Amino acid sequence: MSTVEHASAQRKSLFTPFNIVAAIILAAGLVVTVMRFTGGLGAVTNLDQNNPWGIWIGFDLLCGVALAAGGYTTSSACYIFGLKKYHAGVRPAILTAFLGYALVVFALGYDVGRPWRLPYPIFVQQGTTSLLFEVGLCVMIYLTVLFIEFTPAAFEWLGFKKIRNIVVKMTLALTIFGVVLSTLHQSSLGALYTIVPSKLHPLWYSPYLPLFFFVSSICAGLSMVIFEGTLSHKPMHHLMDKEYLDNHDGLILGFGKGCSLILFGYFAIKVIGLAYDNNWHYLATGYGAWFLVEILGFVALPSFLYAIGARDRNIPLIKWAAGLTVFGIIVNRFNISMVAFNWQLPSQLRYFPSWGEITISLFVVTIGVLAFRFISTRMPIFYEHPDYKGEH
Amino acid sequence: MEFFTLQDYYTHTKGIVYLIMGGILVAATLYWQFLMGGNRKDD
Repeated sequence: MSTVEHASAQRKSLFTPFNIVAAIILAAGLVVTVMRFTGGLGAVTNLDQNNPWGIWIGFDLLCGVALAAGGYTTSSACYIFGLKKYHAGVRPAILTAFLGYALVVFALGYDVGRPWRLPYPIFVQQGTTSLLFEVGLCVMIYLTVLFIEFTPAAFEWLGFKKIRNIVVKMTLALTIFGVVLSTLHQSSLGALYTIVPSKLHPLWYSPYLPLFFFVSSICAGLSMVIFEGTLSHKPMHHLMDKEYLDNHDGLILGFGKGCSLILFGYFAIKVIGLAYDNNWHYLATGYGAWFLVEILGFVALPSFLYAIGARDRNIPLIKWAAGLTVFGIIVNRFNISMVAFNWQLPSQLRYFPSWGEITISLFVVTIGVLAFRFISTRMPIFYEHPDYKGEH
Repeated sequence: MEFFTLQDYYTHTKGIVYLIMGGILVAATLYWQFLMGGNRKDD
């Protein structure tokens, strides 16, 4: 292909359906951003005194943090448990986690407002008795850890060998630090809701909420690695090296098996939570039916599908189970933060997100997808850099 | 079921929790065997 033809092909490739949809979402997001920061929360959201936390917390933060758990689950499987066969999956997982957490902080700026004051709770006035302080501190430190864990790919791309080698030597320490921080803040996000026993429906409220959030985040992380790998497999296939492609099915089978067991455990502790609070009678109500849909349809069913898929080495079935689990985690976080929250209020006082809120959530997700594509098409994410082959 | 004292309530709920936990121990073993069976090649 001549240079002129190549340039012409590149120009054409800019106007793909994906790029056009992404551009429309980005443009709409920028308009809502201006409205939010000039007109305040009331200009673009349906938030009020009864519902101060909406989709920006329920989706962007709670789901964002849970679905970014693939970083610590994959790196701990590889570096702490010594499952080196999953090494090819670490960099995509770390990049997804890093972008996920970065966008959680970015989205929080919309909800909290005055983003230039974001460092205040950490450096100026610490509210050490608040769970939110603990979450904020952990997210800040973990985002830094994820950034450092991601930097070897950037340094290899830039050709900074010395500093790359120094950071690689820190991998195990960073992984352990990441697991500790994730354990702390994943559970603390659940603990936030233990302050509202009278507002959250009894089927979802439990003193074990921190445990539920932590265990479900492991399922979310493992499933998200499979799900994200499935989504990027076709468009990024030309960037994947032999090691990644050879180990891909093994990673899906191994993670599918692990996720099946953890989902089984999650289902078990959810039933124990139900028995501990003696909430059986609520199962016969409308909320009970929805609770059963959640734990049977989005916990027990994917666990079983994962098990069948792992037994029969059925990769497509495991990928479907991963998608179902990811969707189930979103349903769970939506239930806790919105559907079952303020359940006793009359329907006219209940919260439903406005178009502005939905636009910003789509805007944030689109930025994440574009950033992932931008980085993974340039840096050694799906392949090993030729200068560092076999160095792990 | 009616409860007249806190002890009644906890005796009931704890009793149910212990029964469920016993069931989970058995179920987890069976589930593990189910999961680890099937077409095993290299893992």
